[in-house]
Amino acid sequence: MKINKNIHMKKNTNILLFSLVHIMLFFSCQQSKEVIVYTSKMTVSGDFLFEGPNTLQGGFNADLVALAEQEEIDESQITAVYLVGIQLAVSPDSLQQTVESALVQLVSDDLSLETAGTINPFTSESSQTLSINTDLDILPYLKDASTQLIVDVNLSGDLDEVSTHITFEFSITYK
Amino acid sequence: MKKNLIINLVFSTCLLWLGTDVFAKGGDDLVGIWKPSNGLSMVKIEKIGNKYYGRVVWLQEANDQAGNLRTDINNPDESLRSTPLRGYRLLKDFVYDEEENTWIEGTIYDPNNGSTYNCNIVPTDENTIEVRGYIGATVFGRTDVWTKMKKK
Repeated sequence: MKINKNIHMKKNTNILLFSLVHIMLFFSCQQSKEVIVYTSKMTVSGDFLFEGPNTLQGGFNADLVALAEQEEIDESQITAVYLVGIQLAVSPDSLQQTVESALVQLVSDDLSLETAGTINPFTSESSQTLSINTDLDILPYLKDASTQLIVDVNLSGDLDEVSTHITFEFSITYK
Repeated sequence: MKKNLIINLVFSTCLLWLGTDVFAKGGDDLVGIWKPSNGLSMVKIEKIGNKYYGRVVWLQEANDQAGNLRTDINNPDESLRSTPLRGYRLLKDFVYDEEENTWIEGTIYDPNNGSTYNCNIVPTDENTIEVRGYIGATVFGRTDVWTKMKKK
């Protein structure tokens, strides 16, 4: 009788374990998905610039909610956002030959300054493709309203004013 | 007439003193161009948002032996090694601690080995600062004295 009870208990435990494993498998199989999105152009400008290193500053106007909505996902589903590409164009075009290199960075009041992408030297193309920092999760920067874009440029001559138009390509990971 | 002059003088002195005090408390004394003790570079420190950042604005040897711009060849991230050292942002994210009159919580990057260290900056007088890079505790580090560059 006692042996039967033990066998019955063991059977119940096995069923319980089996169910637990299935539940865990179910949740782990809810794999993360990825979608690629492009931001609209962001403009970062500076004036009274001298030959050598200069800093241009502007708002980081990437609207995470809008980017998520266009892919029909909710902002709360997003777990990470990584850079896939950065395109940078100098405006007006005629000033491009004065810009030798550019370093695009993100910073906010509460988050540290991080490099997003770099290019040196500029090519003859009208739009520059930057080498990007693929390790940087920019989700916290997208959620922070105080995030700014900082573009460090090296100039070969003085300029009264210059603008850079920047487009980001993001990989959004969501569940 | 004389009384008015004295009142004006006292008032102006008070305003001047107040202005100086507010400026010092803001931590903006750090803003400017500084030369490290080896004299091989100059670093411009500026304020972005509520933090302070410093970038190389002059290098004694901006080009390598082949005549190309020296770049950040030791950066741990290979994709960022083409960034020129002239213009490089070495000092990042310093916050001014008003009580201690020190700029804290920042980092300093050493392009010679591609390492980033914790860093504090302490003013010694109005023209010099002590820049201390360290790993972990502040005792394990090195201090360099930087001098402020002024227009002649």
